[in-house]
Amino acid sequence: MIKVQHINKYFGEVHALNNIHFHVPKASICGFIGPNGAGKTTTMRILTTLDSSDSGDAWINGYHIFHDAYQVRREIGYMPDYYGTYPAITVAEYLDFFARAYKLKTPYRQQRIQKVSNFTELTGLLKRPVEGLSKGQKQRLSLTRILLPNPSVLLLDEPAAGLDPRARIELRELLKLLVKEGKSIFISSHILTELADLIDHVVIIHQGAIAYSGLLNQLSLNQHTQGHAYTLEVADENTPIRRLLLEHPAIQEVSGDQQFIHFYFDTQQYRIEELIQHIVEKGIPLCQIFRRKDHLEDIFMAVTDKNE
Amino acid sequence: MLTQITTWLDDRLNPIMVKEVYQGYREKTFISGLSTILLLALLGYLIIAYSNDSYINNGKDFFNFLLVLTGLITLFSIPSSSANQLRNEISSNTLDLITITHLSAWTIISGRFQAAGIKVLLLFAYIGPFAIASFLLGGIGVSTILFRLILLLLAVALFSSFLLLSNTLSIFGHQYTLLSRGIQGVSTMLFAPMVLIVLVNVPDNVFTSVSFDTATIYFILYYLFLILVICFFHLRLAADLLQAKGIRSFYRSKITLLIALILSVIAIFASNVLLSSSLSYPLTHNNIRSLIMLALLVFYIFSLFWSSYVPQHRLTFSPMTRYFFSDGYFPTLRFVFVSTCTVILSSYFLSHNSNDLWVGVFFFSQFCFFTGIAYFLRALGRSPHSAIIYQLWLLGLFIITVMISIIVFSFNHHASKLPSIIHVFMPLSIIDTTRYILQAQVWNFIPLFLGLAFAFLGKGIIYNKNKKRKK
Repeated sequence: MIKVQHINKYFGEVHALNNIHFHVPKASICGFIGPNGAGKTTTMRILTTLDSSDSGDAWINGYHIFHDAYQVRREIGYMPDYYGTYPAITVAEYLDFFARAYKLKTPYRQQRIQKVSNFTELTGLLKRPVEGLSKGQKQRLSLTRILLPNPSVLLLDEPAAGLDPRARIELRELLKLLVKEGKSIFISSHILTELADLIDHVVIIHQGAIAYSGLLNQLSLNQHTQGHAYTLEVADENTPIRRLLLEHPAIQEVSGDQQFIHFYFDTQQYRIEELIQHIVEKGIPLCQIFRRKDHLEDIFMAVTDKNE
Repeated sequence: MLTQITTWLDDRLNPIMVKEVYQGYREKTFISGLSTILLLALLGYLIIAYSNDSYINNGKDFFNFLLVLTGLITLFSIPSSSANQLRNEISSNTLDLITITHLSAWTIISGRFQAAGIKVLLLFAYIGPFAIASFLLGGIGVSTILFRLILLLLAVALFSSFLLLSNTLSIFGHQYTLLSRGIQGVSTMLFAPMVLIVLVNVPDNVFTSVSFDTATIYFILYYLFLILVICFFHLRLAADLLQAKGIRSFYRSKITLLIALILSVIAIFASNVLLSSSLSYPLTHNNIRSLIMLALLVFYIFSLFWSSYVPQHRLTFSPMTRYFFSDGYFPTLRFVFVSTCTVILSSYFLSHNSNDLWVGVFFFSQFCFFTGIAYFLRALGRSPHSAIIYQLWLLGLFIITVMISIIVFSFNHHASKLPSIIHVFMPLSIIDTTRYILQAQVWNFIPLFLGLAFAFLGKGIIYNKNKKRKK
């Protein structure tokens, strides 16, 4: 469980974290989303006791991050946005080093390395030099490293950055398995598609302030915009449909190609039926029009736009 | 029972130390280079000793050579390497990964210190047979050998702890990284040559005539304890600096500093003990010049070991001028040039001895020669092969050194200038260097030009490789 209350952090004149306040319940997987430079890594570093805040408090599993820093470190596993490998060392030696650093005793240490390596499918690479691993393998090595002490809370900072699609899918499957084991995962990312199928809670940070925090399924686009997202398919690609949509006062952010057009429609002041009628009257042949499921990207854009 | 004890011990080993040993074990280039130097130096001495009557019982000279070589590695390489690794860990943020494990900041810092200690002890074990050989050559006693090595060990401990502390400053940002590098460079150049001069110049009777009466034992224990307390203070302060600002506390550092200060005050009050000791600063005549020359020798030795670690990264495609004047090699060359000029001109203005200028030329020329060739070899192909070529190249030059030494010591060496000319290409001289440098005169510039030519050639190869890759 993570509880953060009114954390502020300044870097000189820059107010990097502005009264950060959120809560992540036990055994949940929470996405921490925000654009680059929003303050995700700074928050992560404060939560992992690597940095201090200028004001405010935070607790992990009930331990205060400043007053019980050493205890907090026993509760968490932190995977930063870099691999942190060493030259002239094999995977087995690397894991042995961290297992020792986590104070795992001799018979258990080897067993634990073996067990976690099996879980992350790293067993075949134990004799390989760390420097020679691919990005995906290094990421699995980082995950193995943080799982060695069996922490109850995992803080992952941009874990899928730089990974190919296959490695991303593998990582996502591993994280799902960890959630099933009862671990709480706090995962930051600016690539929202990789989080959408994974998280149950979400914290959105924008320009150092929390724009939203809570359950993902309670977060809908409608809360943050006056409309809904729609997709429209036309039979003839050469019709002036795009111009027509752009001229309509209820429509925002028209995107897509000539056949499938995405847009936001203000449902509070206008009715979608009127739009359909208007298009038909203009002689544009419509194949279909449907309301899209709220995408995390759309919600994120709406939330951050609202907070601009 | 034995398994239980080893398991118990294994669990209590400092993880940082274990990792450092894992990594250090793989530094084969260093070990093979050192083996080459030691074996050939011993061979040279043995040949000289048995071919020239005046060189019998010259184990002391050989041990001094061994001590200087060991001192150079232990005082220059090992503490700097430990401190550099700490600084790199800070700058690359990998220290964070260790900090959030269950290790305390103290364990992290002391682990590095222990690793440096283990490396020094391994090196001592490694030079052990050679120290025995120096004893068998005659002219030096066991107590002299042991005391000098113990003093060296203490100096390394003190220096390692100081460098670890100064490099911890990197945690405050880039400016402090530069500051810590500056502190490391200056302190290494000042402290290490001074220790080596002291160790070599301490009269033998200081060690041979030690009577273990109560006053001497107190004296030894006092210094031992003081050094350990100062080491502890350095490490404790470094550990406190590693903590995040919110949880940083200098409590233990302050207590340690207090103890160190009290100890020092006691020493001032008991100064009659210090003044009566024959272990006072043993620098004799012409010491400043010796210090300066030894500092240059350090550059010289460093150039040999460092040149096999020339940066291997391929430069990005950029204008030709950038290839030839801006990556890791030429800035280093400029640094060595400025340092050599500073040291040599200081010496010249102190002693008004123009011979020093030739010594400066010789050292800088040597640096260019070896690093230039190493750079060229690295540019040719992949590092493992070029490292082997470099080792063979070093080996060949050592053989020449030994052969020239035999010629010089066996025959009349005043007649020909040839040994002087060959000498300008020698990587490590075991003969009277200064005289040959002066005899060689302008020949001292030849290695410099050759080295630069090889370096430019290497740059050109890298430039062309990148150009092809870009296409």
